[in-house]
Amino acid sequence: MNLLTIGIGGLEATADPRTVLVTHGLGSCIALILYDPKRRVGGMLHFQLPSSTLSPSRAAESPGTFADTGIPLLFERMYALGSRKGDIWVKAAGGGNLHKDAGTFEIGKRNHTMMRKILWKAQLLVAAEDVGGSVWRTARLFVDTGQVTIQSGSEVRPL
Amino acid sequence: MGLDILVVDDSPVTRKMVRRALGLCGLDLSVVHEASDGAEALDKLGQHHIDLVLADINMPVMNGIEMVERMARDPDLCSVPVVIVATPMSRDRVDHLLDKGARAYLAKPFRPEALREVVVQILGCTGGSHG
Amino acid sequence: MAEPTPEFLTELLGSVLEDSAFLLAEPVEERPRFEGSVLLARIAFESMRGGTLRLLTTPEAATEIAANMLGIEPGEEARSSGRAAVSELLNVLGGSFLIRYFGAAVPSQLGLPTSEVLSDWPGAPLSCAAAVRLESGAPLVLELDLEER
Repeated sequence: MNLLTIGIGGLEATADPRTVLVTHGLGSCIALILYDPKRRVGGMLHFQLPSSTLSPSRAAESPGTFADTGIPLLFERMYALGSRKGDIWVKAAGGGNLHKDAGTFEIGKRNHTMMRKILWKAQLLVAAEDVGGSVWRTARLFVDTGQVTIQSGSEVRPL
Repeated sequence: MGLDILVVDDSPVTRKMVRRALGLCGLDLSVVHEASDGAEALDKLGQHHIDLVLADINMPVMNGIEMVERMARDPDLCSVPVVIVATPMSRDRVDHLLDKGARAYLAKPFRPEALREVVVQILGCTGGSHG
Repeated sequence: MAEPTPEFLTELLGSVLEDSAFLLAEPVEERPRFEGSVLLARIAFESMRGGTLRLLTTPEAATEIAANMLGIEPGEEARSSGRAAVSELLNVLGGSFLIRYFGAAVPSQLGLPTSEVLSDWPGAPLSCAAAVRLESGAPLVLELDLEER
């Protein structure tokens, strides 16, 4: 088994069925998980912020940091491996609100809103999601089966 | 044979949104009819076979409550499932609609995934679900 | 029951914009100035107290709202759907306001939204108002006129 870890602002797609894609530290960030069961191609993005208009220069260096640049790029990586949009399902995890200080606007919810906007425009539904709340999450995609698990603390649950 | 669905809402934007969301449900759709009020909806129900009605409540001419009540009294229409897609409303109104035969209520703004779940459940089809 | 506050309306407007139209908005302290045409939508309601909600924005913002709600580019179809989109947004705001302010157990009635395009700012603001700006800079103002107890 190959463990491929995706950091903040990172994205990966693979057709290697021995791979497990994993990303940790999902607080307000969101992991977008794509899988094509026909071809056993999987992808994962760990984005931190909703819109690249906040920092175009940073988006150019690290497009995966933002939902609006990272999500299309992840789909391109899937297509490059032979996937077709109609065969891909979408899952998501994260978007929590970990900071309860007054005056902190809810980045987690905003990330989720931007993700939903992009997917709606792309005519894609979310098959399942584990979002919100105030927990940290780790997301894993097992490329051989398409199984997704979400871990919070010691609890591991399927998505 | 595909499904024929009737979308009833006075807002053309909502009708488009519902139509678009239906297109993503993975259903075998034949025709999606539209009506802008309850009276127009009853006309369409009289002219076409309809498998499912998705209806707003707050509409001119005839609102969704009256439309549901009339459908319940009509032996030809009482078995056509109705899902209410409407702005958040008081509990007594929701209960009244469900008592009169509406199968489910989805509050606006609705998530397309929630619409899919309700429609697939009511029509008993697979809906092309993934994952 | 406490009187509704600008903060309450701001939170209502922000959350409905996000949930209905995927729009992220920031509250603004000062009432924005509208340059040029103003799109004004109104909806009346009846509950423990009756009143009116009013939503003001620009035709450009209406296009953006329509594009997001329909999941399309802000082109001709979105432009022609802008007024209907703002009316529907106010419809959802109205229903959400009734539930959040009066509660789900209280029977309430919402009217039908109406809208018009005015050549300039409509006049004196109503008693309770919230103002936000979208990422594009476009302003939206939500005003509430609640009947006296």
